Amino acid sequence: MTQNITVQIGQCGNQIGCRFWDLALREHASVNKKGIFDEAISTFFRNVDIRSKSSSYFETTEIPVGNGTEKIRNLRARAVLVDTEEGVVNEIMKGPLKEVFDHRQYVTDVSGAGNNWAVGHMFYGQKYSDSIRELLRKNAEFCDSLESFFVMHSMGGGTGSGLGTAVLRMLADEYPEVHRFVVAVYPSADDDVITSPYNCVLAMKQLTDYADCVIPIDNQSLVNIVNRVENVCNNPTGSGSRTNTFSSTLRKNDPSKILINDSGSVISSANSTSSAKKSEKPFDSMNNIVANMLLNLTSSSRFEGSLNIDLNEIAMNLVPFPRMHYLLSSLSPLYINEKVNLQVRGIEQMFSDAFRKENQLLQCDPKSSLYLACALMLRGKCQISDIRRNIEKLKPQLNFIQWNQEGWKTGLCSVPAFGQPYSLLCLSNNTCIKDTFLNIKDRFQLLFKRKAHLHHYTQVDNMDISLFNESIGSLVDLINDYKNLEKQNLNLKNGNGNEQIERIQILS
Amino acid sequence: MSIITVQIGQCGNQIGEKLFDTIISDSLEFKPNKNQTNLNYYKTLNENYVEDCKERFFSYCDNSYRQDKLYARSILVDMESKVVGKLLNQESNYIFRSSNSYTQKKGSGNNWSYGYCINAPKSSQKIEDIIRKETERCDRLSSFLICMSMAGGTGSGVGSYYTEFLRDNYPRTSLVNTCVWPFSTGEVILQNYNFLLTLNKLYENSDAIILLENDILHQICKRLSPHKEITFDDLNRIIGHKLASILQPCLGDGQQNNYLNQVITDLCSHNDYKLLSLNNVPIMSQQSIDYSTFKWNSLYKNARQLLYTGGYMDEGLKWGLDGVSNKTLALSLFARGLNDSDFEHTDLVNGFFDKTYMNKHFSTKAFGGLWPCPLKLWQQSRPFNNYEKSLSLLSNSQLPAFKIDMLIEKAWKMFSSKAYLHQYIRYKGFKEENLLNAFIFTEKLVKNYKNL
Amino acid sequence: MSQIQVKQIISSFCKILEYFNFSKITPEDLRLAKFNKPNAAPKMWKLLFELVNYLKTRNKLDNQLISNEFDSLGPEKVVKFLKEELLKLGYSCDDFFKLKSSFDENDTSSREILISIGWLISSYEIIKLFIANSNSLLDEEYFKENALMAMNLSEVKKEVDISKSHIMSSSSKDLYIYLNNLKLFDGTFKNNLNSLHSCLSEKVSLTHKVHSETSGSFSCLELHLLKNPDQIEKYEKILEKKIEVQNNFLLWIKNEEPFWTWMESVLDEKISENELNLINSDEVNTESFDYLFAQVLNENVNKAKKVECEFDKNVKKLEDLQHDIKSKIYSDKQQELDRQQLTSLKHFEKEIIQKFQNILLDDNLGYSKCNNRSISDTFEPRLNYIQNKSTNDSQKIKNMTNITEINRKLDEKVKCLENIFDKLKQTATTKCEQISSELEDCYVVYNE
Repeated sequence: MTQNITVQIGQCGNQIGCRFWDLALREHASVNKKGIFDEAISTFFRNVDIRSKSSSYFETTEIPVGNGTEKIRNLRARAVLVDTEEGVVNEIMKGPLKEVFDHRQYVTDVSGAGNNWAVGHMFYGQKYSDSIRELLRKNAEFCDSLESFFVMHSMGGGTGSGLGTAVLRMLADEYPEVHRFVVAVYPSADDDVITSPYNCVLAMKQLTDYADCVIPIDNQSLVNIVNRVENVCNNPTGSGSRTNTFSSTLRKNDPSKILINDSGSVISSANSTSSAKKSEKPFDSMNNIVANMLLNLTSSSRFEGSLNIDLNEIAMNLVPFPRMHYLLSSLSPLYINEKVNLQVRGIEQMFSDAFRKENQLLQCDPKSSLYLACALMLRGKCQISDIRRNIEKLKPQLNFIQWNQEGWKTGLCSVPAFGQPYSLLCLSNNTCIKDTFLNIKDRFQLLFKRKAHLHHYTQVDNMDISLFNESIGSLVDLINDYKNLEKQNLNLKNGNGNEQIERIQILS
Repeated sequence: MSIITVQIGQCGNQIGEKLFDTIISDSLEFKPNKNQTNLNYYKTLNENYVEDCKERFFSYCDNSYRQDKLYARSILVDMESKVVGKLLNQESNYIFRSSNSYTQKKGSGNNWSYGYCINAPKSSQKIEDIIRKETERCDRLSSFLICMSMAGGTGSGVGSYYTEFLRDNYPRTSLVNTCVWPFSTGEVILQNYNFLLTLNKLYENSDAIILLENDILHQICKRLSPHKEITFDDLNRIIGHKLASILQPCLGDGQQNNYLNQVITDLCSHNDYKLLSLNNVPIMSQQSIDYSTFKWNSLYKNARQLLYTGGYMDEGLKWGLDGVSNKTLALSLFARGLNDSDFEHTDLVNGFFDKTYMNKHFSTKAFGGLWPCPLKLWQQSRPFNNYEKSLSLLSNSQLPAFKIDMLIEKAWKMFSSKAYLHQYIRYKGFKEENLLNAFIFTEKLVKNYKNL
Repeated sequence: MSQIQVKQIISSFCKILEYFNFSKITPEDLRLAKFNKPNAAPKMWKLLFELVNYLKTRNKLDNQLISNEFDSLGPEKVVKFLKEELLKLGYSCDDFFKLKSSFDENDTSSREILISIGWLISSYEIIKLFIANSNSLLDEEYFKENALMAMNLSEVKKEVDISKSHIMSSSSKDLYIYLNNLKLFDGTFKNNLNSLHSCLSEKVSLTHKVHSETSGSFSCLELHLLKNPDQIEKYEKILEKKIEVQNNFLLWIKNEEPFWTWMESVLDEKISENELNLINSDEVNTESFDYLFAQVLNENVNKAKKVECEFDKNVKKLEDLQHDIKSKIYSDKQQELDRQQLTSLKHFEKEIIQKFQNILLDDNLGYSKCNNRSISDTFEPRLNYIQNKSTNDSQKIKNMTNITEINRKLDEKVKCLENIFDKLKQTATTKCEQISSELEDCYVVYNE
């Protein structure tokens, strides 16, 4: 199996990453009851022996998967952590997840990027270029077949958007063959960072140019989802009793116990179930949603199923034109963790929910817009006939572009998400995303017209004002690309214009 | 005479598994009816059948001390390891040789171009070695049977590559491709491009292409068990049954064996017409078999109707004379099961496929009449796979061409908006013309069939 | 030489023939033929027929097949066939070609046939051919016989016939249909060839297995016999037969001389009888050698003319097509003319040239052989001997002049025929070149 490396940048990126690793550990612990280091775990984790004789403080011994019978000793996340402050990373290193990271996996500074893309991108990008490159190289060397990087960062602040996109560019240069997924958290409209529109637009040009796939997510949607889920769970309407049974079975099979028993070393991630109550951070629930999305996204490349989807297939199927690689994501059922979740009434509802506005991780309404392509990734007790039936049912409600009327990519993974009988991740390429982009463009232009705060940017070395123009130009082009497709589709549909080229005629 | 199966990609390997499952259960788990009058005749019949079957599909352990385990004459190729890994570890009456498998870590990403231009050439040295070793285990090699899907990147791209590879390296061994046609609505969005590119390559190199449509298989499953959720396993089991029903031992007139190359010679000797459809009469669920009586008379009657209406199973068959009339170039009939006392097979064939029928449905403009041997009958008295009597129809007919025509329509729309092209041309060795040529070629192919 | 030796050598000759599946013939038959006894003629005709067929196939005869053919053809056709064949082979003894075409009991042609047989055996070294053909390995022979028995030859023949008739019937139809059918048979042929190849490789691999399992000490045959002891008797019989024929060969090689002296005595017999029947000879002279030769040549000329005619027709067809395309290109550019159409035209053109060349090369025209050896050269020394012996005879002088006269005439005719062919070839090539260059132009126009 292939391996993936996460690159977590800035406060937001690291917090999402933290939740991801926590949930990933639980998921694997629930499937892998024997504590064997198998192919599935190796996609995101390394197995190392920190106490073997040849190990020094700096070197640990790698234990390869081999024939799949090696016991788990110490798991290490395949991750690189970068921040311009120390706070979040330090907390992780002291927290329950400290065992899965080591000192060779992070780079931090103390002074922050001051919500300035230029500082993150130019200054820190320059300053840490070598050390980040070295970190990436080391982690990549631990993989025998590196499939993709998951880059996680925010778009509003300085570190995530600036340094994050600098790292992305570095990845594109150094690892052109490896897929680059970016999970980008967009600021909400009432964001308190004044310069966030600048940061966002500047970063977007980098994403458009250097990423293979971007999964945009906005904070507002996450807040809404969390509120909905928690509301329902706090006022149980029959589904509560079921959640309790889940948690009680969970306690019996406490994953930490399973993972400890062989090596004796504590993999403390699982403790977070109990510690979560005590020290729950404000963003944890929201980040859990993103982490769940990532787990579903990678499930098919980690576990077996009757219709596998490899990660590289996602970009292949969902990106018809190279720049238009922004994918909407929605989850169904929605859940924060195995205890707090929205039970769905059945498979049919799961499908229809996934297309609802409320389930999108970005605020938009794909149903009323034009679909370019759509992927359905199922986990758990579902069969191909479920997919067939529901696609037939959904088809009339959705508007697909003329040349891709059957633009469905489907996947079936037999291992369910932890605590869920089945779940669905829906990824789609939809023109409604242009509304989000338009919004960003407007906010950018509001500032840019007045040249507000520009001097903060231009005083940074190497930062040229022309980059602003280029970036907004790139964004406008992208928006136009989506608009043109809508126009083209309308023409095709009405049968006017010269859009349709006749088929080749063979004379006999 | 042996057949080497080459299983490529997730779908190819799943089909291969079900094919060997069917063959082994048909061969080894058969018990003649106790009430059968001439039990001894039955016994020798069965023994010969099983011996022949083993020779065709299985070899023994390389060191001659252990002769008890059967090894499938099969080569397992996938660009990722999950499916093949599962097959190698399963417990069954036969074994897939782990030395006959090739996997790597990174899949072909649903991209024909990636499979054909990048993944396949990378693996060719090792696979060449595997193929050579396996051919050396056969005294006489009849054919390679390549199982693959037309949709994904590995099945289609790597499958195309190895079909070409086998043609170049084994020019005198016949090549038959068993291709799974993806669901018409979405399995993979690029399936139509992949399909066309694959068909183009296969037509250049293969001797015959057996097309199996997931849509139809799904409908068959649905009829067999209307209240059950249908899994890929169910679909593949039907494919296994279908394939085994033509590959298991059978005799033609003059005691000729149904070696696959022989069957193909009858059906696909003309280079422009290589598409085969495979139908079975009857197809039933296990429960219905137990409560059914079989009469050759009605089986032939159904087969005759099925063929020209272009149906796929005897249940729910159209009986009216309207609807499409499906022109057939050549047909091979495989009849398995004991004779009724009152009819000979040849009489039944001549009765149901009489001159008028043949002239109406087999006679073509392009050939100025019938083919020299348009209909071939293969017989086997030993029942197949629990069916007391069954007929399989392997035919070279117009039907697939009409479906390909519809597929071109969709793919052309996508192509004329240049969607997804960048995914293909980014790999060295693939140009936009390749896809355009595939379009031209397929249009020609469809035209040839339509003009019959 | 003693009389016994002659008898011995002749009977061994008969045995050799028998071994190669010729119809049974006895020394007595030959003796009867020598003295032109009437009832010997049919047997001699048949022997000659079989020899000619053997020369054609160079294979062990399928006696049954040949006999059937011999019977079904009937005397008239058989004699005509043999005369033509011998002519092609280069035999030019006038008397033979004058023979009546019947197997009449009273027919007195047996000696003449015997002489021609003698000529055939000496000039084509048939005995050497026999020896070469009997060199096959024992196992091969053994298994081949078994395999041939297992194979249902009539079934195979039936299939071939179906294919043949199918092709023939479609050739009269549309060219497109004809081509389609040809392609179909080409495919079938290729597939069958491949399955033969797989049989061969199976044989190799199985033989290898036998050798490696027995570490080389047994051949396949020996192993087979060990496994099936009941077959040993059969094998022994084959072995005995083989030894016998080898002995006969040995005898022949050592004592060939008496046979030929005996043949000379047959000639002597003929000469002395000719002197007696001098008066009647003119009467018989209805169908002489040059007459027959002229007839064959005439036929060929006609054939050539027909070919030319057909060729012209095809060229005309091609020109029409080409004209069509031109007008299409010039008159209406909008109308798509696809490459396929042009290539199929190209194919068509090639087809015609190929067809034509095939006809030219067709061995049936047969004159080439006669032409290669000058006619008088084909008389082997042994037959020249006849003439030498009778030089002082006036009749024979007449014969000689007769022969030179024939030669002159024939040379003329052959030249004439050659000229026709040359002309035909030339027109064909120029026509084809012209057409292809014009087609080339079409391409250019189209591509523009």
